[in-house]
Amino acid sequence: MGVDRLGPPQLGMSAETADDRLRQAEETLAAIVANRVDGFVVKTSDGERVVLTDRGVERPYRVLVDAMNEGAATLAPGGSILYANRRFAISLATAVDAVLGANLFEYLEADEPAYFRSAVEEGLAWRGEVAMRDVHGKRFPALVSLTPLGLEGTVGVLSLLLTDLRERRRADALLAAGQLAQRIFDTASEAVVVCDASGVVQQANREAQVLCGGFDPSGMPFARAFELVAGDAAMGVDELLQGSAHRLQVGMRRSAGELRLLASAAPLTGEGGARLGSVVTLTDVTDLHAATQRLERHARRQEAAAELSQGALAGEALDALVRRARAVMDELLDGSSVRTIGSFRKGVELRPGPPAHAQVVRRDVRTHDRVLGLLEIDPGCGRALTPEALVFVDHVTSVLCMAAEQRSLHARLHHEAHHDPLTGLPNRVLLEDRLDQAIARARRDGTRVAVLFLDLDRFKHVNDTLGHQAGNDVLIQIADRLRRYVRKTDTVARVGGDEFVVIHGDLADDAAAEAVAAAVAEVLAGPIAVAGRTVRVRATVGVSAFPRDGDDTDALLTKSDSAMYYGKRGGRNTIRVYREDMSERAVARMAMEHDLEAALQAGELELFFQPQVSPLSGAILGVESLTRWRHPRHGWIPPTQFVPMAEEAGLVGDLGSWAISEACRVARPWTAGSWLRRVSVNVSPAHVARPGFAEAVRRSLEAGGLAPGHLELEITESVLMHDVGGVVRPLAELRELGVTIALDDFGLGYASFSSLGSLPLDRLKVDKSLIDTRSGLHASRDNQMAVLLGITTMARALGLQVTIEGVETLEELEMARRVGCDEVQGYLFAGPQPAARLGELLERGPLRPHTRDARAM
Amino acid sequence: MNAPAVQPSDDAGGTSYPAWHFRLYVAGQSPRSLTALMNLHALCHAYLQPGYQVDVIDLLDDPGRAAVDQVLAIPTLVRLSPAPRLRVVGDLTDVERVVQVLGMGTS
Repeated sequence: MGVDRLGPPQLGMSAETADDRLRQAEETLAAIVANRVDGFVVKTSDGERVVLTDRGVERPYRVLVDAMNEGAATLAPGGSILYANRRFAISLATAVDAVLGANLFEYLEADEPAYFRSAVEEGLAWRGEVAMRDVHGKRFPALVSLTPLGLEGTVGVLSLLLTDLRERRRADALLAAGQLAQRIFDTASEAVVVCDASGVVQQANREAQVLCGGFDPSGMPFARAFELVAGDAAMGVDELLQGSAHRLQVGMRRSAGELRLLASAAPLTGEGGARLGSVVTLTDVTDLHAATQRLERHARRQEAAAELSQGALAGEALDALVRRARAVMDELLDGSSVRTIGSFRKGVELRPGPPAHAQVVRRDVRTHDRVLGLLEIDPGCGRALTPEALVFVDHVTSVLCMAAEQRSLHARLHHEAHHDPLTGLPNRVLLEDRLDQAIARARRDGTRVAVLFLDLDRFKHVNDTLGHQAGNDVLIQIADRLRRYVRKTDTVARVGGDEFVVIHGDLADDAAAEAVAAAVAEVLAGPIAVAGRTVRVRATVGVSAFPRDGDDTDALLTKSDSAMYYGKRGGRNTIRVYREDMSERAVARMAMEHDLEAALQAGELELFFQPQVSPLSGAILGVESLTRWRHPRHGWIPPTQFVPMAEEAGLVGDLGSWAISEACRVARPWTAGSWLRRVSVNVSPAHVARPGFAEAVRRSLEAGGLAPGHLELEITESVLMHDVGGVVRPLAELRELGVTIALDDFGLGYASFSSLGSLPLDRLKVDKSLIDTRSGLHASRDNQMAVLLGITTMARALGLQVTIEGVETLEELEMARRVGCDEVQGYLFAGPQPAARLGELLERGPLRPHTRDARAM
Repeated sequence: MNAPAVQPSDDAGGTSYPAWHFRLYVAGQSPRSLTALMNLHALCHAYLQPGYQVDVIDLLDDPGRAAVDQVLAIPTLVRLSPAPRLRVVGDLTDVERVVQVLGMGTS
């Protein structure tokens, strides 16, 4: 096989010296003159062409001379130019025609050597450097050789070859560049290997020799000197050498482990594009490769942790999350073995032994107050986890802890939705549920159920003389007594400040109900030690019984309440069993209802507006409108009193419609030129469910000129207790228009987060009892914060805004800020204001908290 | 004639390469080309026994290859190794001169 020994890349091929070129031209010319050639290679626009000739030398001579890269001319004795080629004319900066017939001496500088002149004149061979001058008089150095042609009948005719030495300078520069390239080649930090076209190594620099094990691989096939494994099977090392691949990631096995190399190849071509071989550069990217792998693994870990937190947010069970966490750690911790210890359920105590060795990493999965389980990662083989791996472990752990905290918060919220925080007794929600069950059981078994409504007598007096804390202690002790007294199947609930309900099932007859009530009253009557004193608390008890007084929960509770009320009026500390005539309370109400109807006609109703402000800036963002009734005899009556009346009297629709129209009318001018964006109106579920409700609201908006986006309807949490179906459609319809919907009094226990999904909602108004720091309703401030945080977090997750109601102290404002609610409402900023006064407040700009005790106002 | 005329070297292993390596550019079977080829073999036989290698390149088949060694006239002989690269243009009839230019006598 033909093997070309090549020099360093590209060198020596294009950087021939001017001397070499001249010598080659002389050699060719001599052969032609001696008639030893019969073919010529002529460059045409289509590339090279071979011309064969057998017609003497004159023609081939001409052809050749024209094709040459050197200047050439034929000189008659005395220096006349008989013939010249293009290259010759170009050196003189003129055309061939202009040169023919001229004398060579015209182009020589005056200081040319005398022996050159005599050689020309006498037709002698000569070779040397002369100074020449082009047609513009520009001087240039040239290497000239004179050869007698020696053709028949041409004595004294010379052939002249001229190498323009301006080009030689260029060639020298090329040579210098070549040497530089050689030095670079020798000292390059990459391995550089020059291969010929058949893949045999011609040259290898120092790095390349190191790479293949410390010897010079020249003469060996490349593939044998460098045993490379292409990472991608589709593209091999052969392709690289043949020039169809330019860059390739390859591996190279060494005793110390596999190296990652980046191989790139550049073709070596001669003139005309012939492929002579290639220059292969091998760069050690082992470190880079490892770094890339680390980055990729980092990305996969991030992704895995993100997926895990999505699962956590979506409510996946903790033990399922732990299983997933274990699986991703198994995959992404470089072969570490991952073990979980514990059940990851609340209340299971952990007794882990010590870790097997010091490299084992342990992480607690815990809530703020207890450890639910452990993750244990053993890197094995005496290795330690990398810092990045530790970060990943911590990330996963924190996701699990967050999920654990959330689950525990959820459980707590659920418990709190059904229990009274002070005494831990069931609240009204759970009470009603239990009573439903008791009724169902009694109906099935043919037994009776007693409902006892207890109200402590003069409990306010205890609070006033001994303080809130003592009052709370009393309530707790009474709750304990009741709890201890009743049977396991009975229920004791706290339904108000000093109101309790006891359900006692399985009674044989109605008389038994009274006996139970007497026993309960007796239990309460015992002395209670509180705040270093002994107090006696008595209670008034109202009794109703199933089935005698009613056959559902509502009726039984109302009637026991009525009986208790009657008992109070009758002088307290008594037990009253419900009788029909006790409903006379309702009669008194009917008179009021009549008055209310009249009030609507007579314009005795007026809207007040309470600001809802940004907890941070105090800017008034919204106002809640509250209907006040100025009763001709009783004075101002708050809605908490007359709204239930209106509901019973069937006036709720008229009342609500009036409030909406009035709010639209009054608030419209406020929405321009202030931060105010919203006026809200309380509506009752019964009103919303009435046919034509949405249409009526739309008309009110139009009539008042208020944009729908500026109206908010507040519906109370208790709507969720009833049939939600009737209110959803009209609310959704209005919401389409832009009207926003708020759920009022959230947190009283009617609504759980899971039930919120059934209503079209924009805002939660958190009931004032939840922010209250002074009633002692909350077991601890931390506990209170946790509940508020839980509510705001969940609300955010549901896309709801949060307004906290009843903010009355700076401490409560600070809590509201910390839980990150959107707005607060309460006496700390402002109570309900008449319309004119509210207009003034809006003009004055953001509200500032009152520094005096707001409640005293 | 178009196939490269290769004189095998005496080295059967194939890992070492002949000290003398020529490339002869010809134009088909033109008279000078034939003469040059015969002369070259005679010269090599006389001066370079036993190891040499000749690649014959027919420019009628592939004129483009002339560019590799910047061949102008045919036949042209290029000495590839030993370095430096040298050339003799013509049919190699002038034996003494060829031997002198290519340094074959000193082998």
